[in-house]
Amino acid sequence: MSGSNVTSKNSKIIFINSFKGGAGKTTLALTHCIDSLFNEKKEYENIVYMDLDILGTGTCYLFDEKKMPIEKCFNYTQKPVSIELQLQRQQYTLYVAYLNPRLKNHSAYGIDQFMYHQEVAAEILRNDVLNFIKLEIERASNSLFVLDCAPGFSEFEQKLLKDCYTLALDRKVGILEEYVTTLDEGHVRKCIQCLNDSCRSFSVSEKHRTMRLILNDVQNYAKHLNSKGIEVEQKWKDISKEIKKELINRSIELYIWRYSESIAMQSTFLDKVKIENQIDDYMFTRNNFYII
Amino acid sequence: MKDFKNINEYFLRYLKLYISTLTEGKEEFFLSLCDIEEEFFHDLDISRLSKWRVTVVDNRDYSKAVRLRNDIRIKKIILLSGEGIKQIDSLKDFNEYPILPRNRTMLWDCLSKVFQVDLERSIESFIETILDNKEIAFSELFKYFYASIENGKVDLTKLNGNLDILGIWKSKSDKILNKGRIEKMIRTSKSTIVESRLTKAITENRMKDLGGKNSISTLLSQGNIQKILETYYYEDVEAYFKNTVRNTRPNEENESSNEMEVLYATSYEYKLLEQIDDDISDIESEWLRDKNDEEIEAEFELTWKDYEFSDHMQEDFLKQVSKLKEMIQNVDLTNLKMEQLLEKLENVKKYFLDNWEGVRATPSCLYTFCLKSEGYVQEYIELLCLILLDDKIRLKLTGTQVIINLLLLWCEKKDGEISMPFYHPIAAFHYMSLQKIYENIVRNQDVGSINYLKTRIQVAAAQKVGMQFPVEFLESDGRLYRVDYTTVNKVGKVIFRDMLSGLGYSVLDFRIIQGQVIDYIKKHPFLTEINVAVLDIGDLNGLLQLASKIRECSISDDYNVSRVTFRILSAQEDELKKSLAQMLESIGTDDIVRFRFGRYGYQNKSRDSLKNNTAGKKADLAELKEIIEEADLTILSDSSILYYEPKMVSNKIGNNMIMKRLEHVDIRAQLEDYFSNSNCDIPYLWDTLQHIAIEQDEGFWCWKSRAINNQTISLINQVISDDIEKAIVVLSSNADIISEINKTKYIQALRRKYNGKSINILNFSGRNGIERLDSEGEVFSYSVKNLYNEALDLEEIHQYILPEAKDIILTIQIKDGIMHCHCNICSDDGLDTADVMRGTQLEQPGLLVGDEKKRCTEWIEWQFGDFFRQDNIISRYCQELWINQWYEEAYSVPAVLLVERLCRGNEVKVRFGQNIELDHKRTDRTDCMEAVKIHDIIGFVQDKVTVDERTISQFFERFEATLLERIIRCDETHHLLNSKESEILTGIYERVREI
Repeated sequence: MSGSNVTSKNSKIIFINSFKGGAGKTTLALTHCIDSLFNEKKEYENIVYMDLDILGTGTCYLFDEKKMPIEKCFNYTQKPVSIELQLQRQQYTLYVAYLNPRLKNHSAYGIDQFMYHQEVAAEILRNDVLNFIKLEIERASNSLFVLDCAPGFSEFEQKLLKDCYTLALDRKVGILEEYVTTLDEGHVRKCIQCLNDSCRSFSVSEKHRTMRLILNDVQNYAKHLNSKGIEVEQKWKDISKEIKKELINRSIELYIWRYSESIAMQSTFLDKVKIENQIDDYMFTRNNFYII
Repeated sequence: MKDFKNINEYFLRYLKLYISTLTEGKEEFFLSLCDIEEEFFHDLDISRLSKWRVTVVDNRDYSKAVRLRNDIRIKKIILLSGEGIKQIDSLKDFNEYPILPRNRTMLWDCLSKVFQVDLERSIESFIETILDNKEIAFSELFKYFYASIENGKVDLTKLNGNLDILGIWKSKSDKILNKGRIEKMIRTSKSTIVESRLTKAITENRMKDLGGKNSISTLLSQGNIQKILETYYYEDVEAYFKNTVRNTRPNEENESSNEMEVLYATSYEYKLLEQIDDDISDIESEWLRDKNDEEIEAEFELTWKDYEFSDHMQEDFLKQVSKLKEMIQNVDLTNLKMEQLLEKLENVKKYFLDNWEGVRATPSCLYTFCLKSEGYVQEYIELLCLILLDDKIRLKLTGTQVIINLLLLWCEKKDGEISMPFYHPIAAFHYMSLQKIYENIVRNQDVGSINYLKTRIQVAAAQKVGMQFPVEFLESDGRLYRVDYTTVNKVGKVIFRDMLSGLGYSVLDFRIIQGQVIDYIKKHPFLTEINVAVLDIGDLNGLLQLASKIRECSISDDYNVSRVTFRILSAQEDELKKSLAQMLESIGTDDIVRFRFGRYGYQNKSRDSLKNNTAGKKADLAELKEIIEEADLTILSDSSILYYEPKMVSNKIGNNMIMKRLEHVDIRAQLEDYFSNSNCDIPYLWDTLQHIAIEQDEGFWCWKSRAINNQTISLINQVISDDIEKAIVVLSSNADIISEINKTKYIQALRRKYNGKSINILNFSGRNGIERLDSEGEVFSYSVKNLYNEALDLEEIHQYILPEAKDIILTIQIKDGIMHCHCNICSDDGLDTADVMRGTQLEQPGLLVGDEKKRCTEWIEWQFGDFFRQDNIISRYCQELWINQWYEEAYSVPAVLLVERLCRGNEVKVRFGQNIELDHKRTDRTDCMEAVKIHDIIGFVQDKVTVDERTISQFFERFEATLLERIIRCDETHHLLNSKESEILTGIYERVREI
């Protein structure tokens, strides 16, 4: 599932991004965390989800809100909170670093600390994140960090990613970049364009990067194809071929992430299900997440 | 040679006492005592029985007896005979009693007075075990007793050393032999077994020389088995009787046609219950070695005789595989996929054929069978997973017969049923799960004084759990077949019956409805005649006991009932009639209990009309209405009319985890999951494959078969509101039935765990009131005897703890967060259960000796501590059993919460106190609806980690906020819930209150 520079490391940082909102970054990031947490192989003893989406929806709304009060958010404490997750009779702890949802729209550090300058605030946040990751790796050498970024590949994300690669040089850390898109035509095209831009401009050479493009079938296109009697696998291959033709970095792996009705339903207004009560949805299987 | 001089003197004393007891308070009687052996008549001086006119009669000369009877001046006549006088028509006025009274209390009373000894309860139990397991003549018992008394008391060494008088191996022990040991000694004393086993030991040169002219070989050659028993002690020959198995159950429930049932269905049961230290593999090796020895086999008829093998089995299997291969080859698959499928199928075939001999060991030799079947079961399940998980294969196989033929591999389909042999991978998986349970019991064996008791309880629970089967439905050729649970573990194959045939699959019988029938009689004391309609009962187990209870009611002054007519309506009419015919004599022909049979619902309907759901249901409902209107009490025992037709539904919960496990399916992991969590993925795999054989759907699917048919419930409500005297009892295996119809009035509810299934018992009647739990009283009491008897069919289990006890009453309380168990021993012979439950006549704790106290404490601490904390399928099963039973003893919300807490595994402080006020209101409770709802609420929150909108909406669908409030108020005071439960419940309550 992972590139060569990932498997040889004990710790891993998964960098999840997209070039448009609503592609499913947070769900994918949480699925990485929860899947690893309950994986029989138990590769990681320490799994941390980091919400760095300073523009996006608040992660804390997905979990039991009482466990994620404002005063415990990462930008105040530089620490994650622990969330106990339970599936059948197994119980594990996920560490969640989240940002203050109310202050996001001002800046990462908000007005309380008199830091109106967003760039400075972002700089501080980036340092805090890096320091935190370093300390955690020192504490537990097989840690998994899943970084749920804000959509777009902003300067903040680029710098952070570069820092992570620097970290990877002298520590046993593998970096995996995942970019999520829906099958929407505009979304895919923008994604290709941005990925190409990123490959051209990003300071780390593409041969050192393990990148994946995740096609999130939120429309349940596969079901539609099936109902028409069209072979789904072939369709994915056609799509993949077309995308790869346009990508500069030919080593980018394309994955299909299948639609989940259960996940689609669980955020429905007035019928919301908290993640803690619906752990099973956040699992990868051979049938819902696979390479094309 | 034992000396029996003066024995006739003692016999005369016995006669005087026995006759006096039988005739006490009667001025006039014609009494006959039979079964008296010839030897007692020789020197019997009947003139010393001058209080009565006594004469000895036989079939040739009974004229004197007739003359006495004809003399109207003679009021008290006693006839003594060997064969009895029942066949003599002219003496039919005489009441006849055997010389060995059936009433054991009377027997002990007479014997202790005759021989002027005090009989300890443990000695009575010991002799009762002998009498229960062997035909003993009165003279033998009398001589045995006579010979075992020394210095005015029963000498234990003699009691064991004189067993040969009873035709049983004698023992050197100077202690009372435990129940298991004496039972085994009795079994191995049968002349055929003695002869074959000892001959075998001699021919195999395994017997050490026990010497002399009375050597075993000499006595065997003379055929003098009795002399062998007189000469040798059991301890000398015990080694030659390993693995001797009794073939049928002792007479428990012998009214049913369970003749094929074996005492030890598997080698593990044998090892555990006989407390054999040998490894299970060694035990089985010996069995398998002896399997073809006709003489040995004939003596104990091992269970593998139930498992049929024919020469063409392998041939049929190979034909099925060839056909399947051909079918696969005709599917439009890529070469790679085709090869994958065929390779897997070939592996299944290879592993199966390679292990055929091991498979033939059958589940009787469970260890060997499971060891040998694991390979092909794994391959078969992998093959099923390949089809399910590989999209291309799955889609291509939809609409073909490949999947169904694969599921039906090894099976035979004919006459509306599918026979799945015990070696089908699904059946083999079932046996492997059973083996895992037994292995765990074996592993947890210890050397403590209550080890046997612990084992007995766990084995009984394992037998109940083993009555379940991993899958229930199989759809083939557009017809749906359902497991007949009465065939699981019974006949070497599991039968799936065509749903249209209406043949029963229920494991419910008369034991579970006994309380309801008696309750109806009690609630209607003025009715003289009661009609009870029973629909879809599985068999007649428990009918004898029910008939006897009805008879008790009929002679009681409290009730007018003089006739109860059961109208038994079942598609299994013929089988039930046969069973009834076998037990009619025992039920009695006094016309108090009568039977009518019918089929209802199934006989006049064409398959087409039944297939048509709506039309079929309408017809059924009309018929049901007629049945209900004709009867006073109607009992629907998990009848199909209660539910909508089974349908395949998409599984919504846990699909990803199931998928992940099946991606790397491992039978051992599946078994572990089943053992630890009572759950595994095989049922999902089985059902989903049936679905994808027809439909190109994704995800997991399962048969939903217990959706409550609201039309039936409406009909029931309508009938009981029209006529408040009618009662309708619904027995349902739908776990949610109570919450699904909780807004219905006039329902009383109980929940029972019965033959492996959870059964809700709902009593609909206009006369039912709502029983509300008190808000105070964090205590409940229960009878150990009743609990084990009702929950696990373990009779007199308390006697393994305290042999002299009649019952043990436990009172559970919590004080300062610590569980307290007050243990009261009931030892008074004369008390019936009801008296005991009222807490009278409790033994003073001081009378328990140290060892007994220790044993009792150890058992209580184990049950509530280690056993419940093990948290596996067996302990969980027992927790459920206990919860159901304890709810019937819990009269307040705190008591119900206490029950919940107790079942999670707790440290318990045991006290033997006689000062506990036992506030036992009653024993035959018919309603604990609120307790069951509380249990369901707590179960609901245990599945939740946090409170969200979905939680709230689900809560509202199933429960009432008022009950939740009462639970929370109670917990605020008593703190019986754990912090997580408390937090979630409070969270829900806060949200519910807002709404």
